[in-house]
Amino acid sequence: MSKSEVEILKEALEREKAARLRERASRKAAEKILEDKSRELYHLSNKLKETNLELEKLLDEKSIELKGIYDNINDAYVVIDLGGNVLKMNDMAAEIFEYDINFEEFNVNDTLLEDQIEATYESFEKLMTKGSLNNFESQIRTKTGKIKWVQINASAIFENGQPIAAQGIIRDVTQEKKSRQLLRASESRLSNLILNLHSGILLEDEKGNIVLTNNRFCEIFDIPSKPEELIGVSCARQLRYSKDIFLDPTSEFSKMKDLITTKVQITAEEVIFKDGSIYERDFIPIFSDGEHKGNLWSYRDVTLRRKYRKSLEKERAKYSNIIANMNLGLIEVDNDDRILFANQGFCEMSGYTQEDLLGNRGKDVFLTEADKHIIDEQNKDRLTGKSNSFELRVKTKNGDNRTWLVSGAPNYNIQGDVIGSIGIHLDITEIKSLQEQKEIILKQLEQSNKELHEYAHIVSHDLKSPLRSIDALVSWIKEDNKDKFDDLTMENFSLVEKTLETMEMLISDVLRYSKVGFNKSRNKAVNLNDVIQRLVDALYIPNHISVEVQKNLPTLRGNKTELLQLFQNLISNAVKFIDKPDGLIKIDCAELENHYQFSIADNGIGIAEKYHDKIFQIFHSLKKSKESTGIGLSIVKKIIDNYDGKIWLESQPGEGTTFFFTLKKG
Amino acid sequence: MKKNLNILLVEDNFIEIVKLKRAISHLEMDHEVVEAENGEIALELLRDGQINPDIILLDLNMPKMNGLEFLAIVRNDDELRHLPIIVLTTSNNSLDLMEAYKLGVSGYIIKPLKYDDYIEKIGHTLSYWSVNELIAN
Repeated sequence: MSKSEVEILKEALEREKAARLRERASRKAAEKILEDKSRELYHLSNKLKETNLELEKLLDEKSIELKGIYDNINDAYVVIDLGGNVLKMNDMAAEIFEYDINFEEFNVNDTLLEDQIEATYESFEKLMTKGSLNNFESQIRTKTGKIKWVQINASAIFENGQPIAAQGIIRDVTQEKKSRQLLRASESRLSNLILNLHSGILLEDEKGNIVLTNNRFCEIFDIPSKPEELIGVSCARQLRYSKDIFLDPTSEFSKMKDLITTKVQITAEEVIFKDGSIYERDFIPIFSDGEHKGNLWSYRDVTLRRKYRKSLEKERAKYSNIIANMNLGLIEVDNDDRILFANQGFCEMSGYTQEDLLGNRGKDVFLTEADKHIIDEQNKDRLTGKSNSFELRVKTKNGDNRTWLVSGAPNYNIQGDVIGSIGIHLDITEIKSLQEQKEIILKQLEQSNKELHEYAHIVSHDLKSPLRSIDALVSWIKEDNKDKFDDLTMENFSLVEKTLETMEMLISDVLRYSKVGFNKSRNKAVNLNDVIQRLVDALYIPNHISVEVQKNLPTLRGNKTELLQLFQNLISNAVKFIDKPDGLIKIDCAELENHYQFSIADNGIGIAEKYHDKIFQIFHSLKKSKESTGIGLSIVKKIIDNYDGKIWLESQPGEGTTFFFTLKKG
Repeated sequence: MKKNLNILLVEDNFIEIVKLKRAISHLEMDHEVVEAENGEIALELLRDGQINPDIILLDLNMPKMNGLEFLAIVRNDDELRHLPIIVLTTSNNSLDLMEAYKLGVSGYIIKPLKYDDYIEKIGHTLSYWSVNELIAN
């Protein structure tokens, strides 16, 4: 071996030795670190053990706790697998679903409603991906077919990062849902109501801006906007536009300002508007937790009510005044006929004072024995609600016998029961005696009329008899002395005879005149065409005179004799006064509202206007002749009077006369 | 064949009695006229059987018993009710006329004013009755 080899080896050995030393040193250091670490680890693991124990303990505690919660929870709790099969459920859940897994298989899908399936699956999907589901609401059908609203809060259960089941708490919210719906409905009704309320409503917030108002408010204040357009608008500004609506805007404004400042509730405060309407205002400040939140104003129209009340009071005052002062006696009695009230007029009539009367029976106080039954009968009628009038003979306090006319009516209370009656009394003693007198006078009148009529006949008979005798005697004298008297004597005899005729006619006419309207019934239908025809046939009408009837004449209700006489007198009058070679008499008729108007025209001598009234007066004849007694037209007038008619004439002297007259339609 | 009539004239007026008699003679008739001043006398004559007229001419306005009263009594008398009675009066009172026909008369003649008219009326009346069949005798 060479030195170098040895050297190399030596060197190598040296290096090895040094390495070993280094190695030893580092091993030692490593050992030290290990030792330190081991110690540290030991401590740590000890600590871990402790923590673990603690955790285990905690976990147990929680498990126990949770188990208790689920079992005793007030809400329904279910656990389902991914297919919806219920793995676990509590009693509450059984109650909701009416299924119980202790007795039967139960898959929640069985309870799904057709239209809810999709929404439910979506939610389930979400639950699986997100891990939880909050406040999901759905409708279910229970085992017995009940439909319920349920609210579900659920979480997914994972194993190795994969969902394997879900657990959820189910709440039956059917009632809640119903109430919510009802509440919504009533809320909308309420807002509708406010909107259309008959009172004007305005709600302002604490800053004086409008929160709510209604149609009526806009109407009252003449605001052209819709209520919803006013929301947020400043009350004060809006009010300025409407200030002229008040009768006294200044005082109203200051009153309203005071209300807003003092924040004291005021109700039914009267506000008078310029147009005369009266409103009642309520001011209600609104506080929440002692803090002012705004004000509610409401206005209601009470104009009618005020006016009604005012006029009612006025009416009442008026009537009680009338009742107190009227000349009619008024009493109020109860069902036992005891007097409850008597007015001044009644006291004066009866002579008794209120004190004498009140509480007493009317029939005991003033009724004559003979008439007591009347009151008893009347009172019976009152009880059945009948009212009527009757006469009573009574004795007043000073013993006078009087007759009263009583108008009695039942008096009712608010329930409509008869509680007595009210009687109005009028003293008709004088009227009664007048009536009796009138009856006696009427009877006497009738009698004397009859006597007068008889008298006219007797007088006419007695007057005519001597005339007849004179005529007979003259005839005999003439007969017995034929050829012995000269012509003058014979002429005088014929004058005697003519005078007798005139006198006889006068007597007949007076009798006829007195007979017009006496005991005549005027209710027979009389065809005036027949009347005229009869007259034209019977009257002496010379050949040169023609009678024209212009049109069909009406049929009247009346007395044929009278109507015959009426037309006869007028036609013979016309005949008498026609002086023309071609005489013409025209008869015409026109229908008026209540009368017929006739005209009889002639082309005779005519009548001067100054005689137009006189000719209707009795014994007034324009032409003294043996045919004219001056009674004919008086009879005409008297007959026309009996038919509520009038007669007048138009005439042109020398040309003719037209008589017009009216007769009432029958 | 005309008969001569026995006529009872119930009339209070003397001139009227003369008038009838003169008229009959003027007409050259041979009727017998017996007069009674009023109804009472006429009834007496009839009931006593002193007269037995064919017809009675009766005035209405008479003292004591007037014509209508007489008429009523005769119409209720079984012995006399058959007698034809003709009223001869001045009265044209429709009530009288009605009453007379109601009680039962055979005619109602109003005395005219003119004597000539009277003769004519009496002539017609008596001629008529003289051709009638009559019960008396």
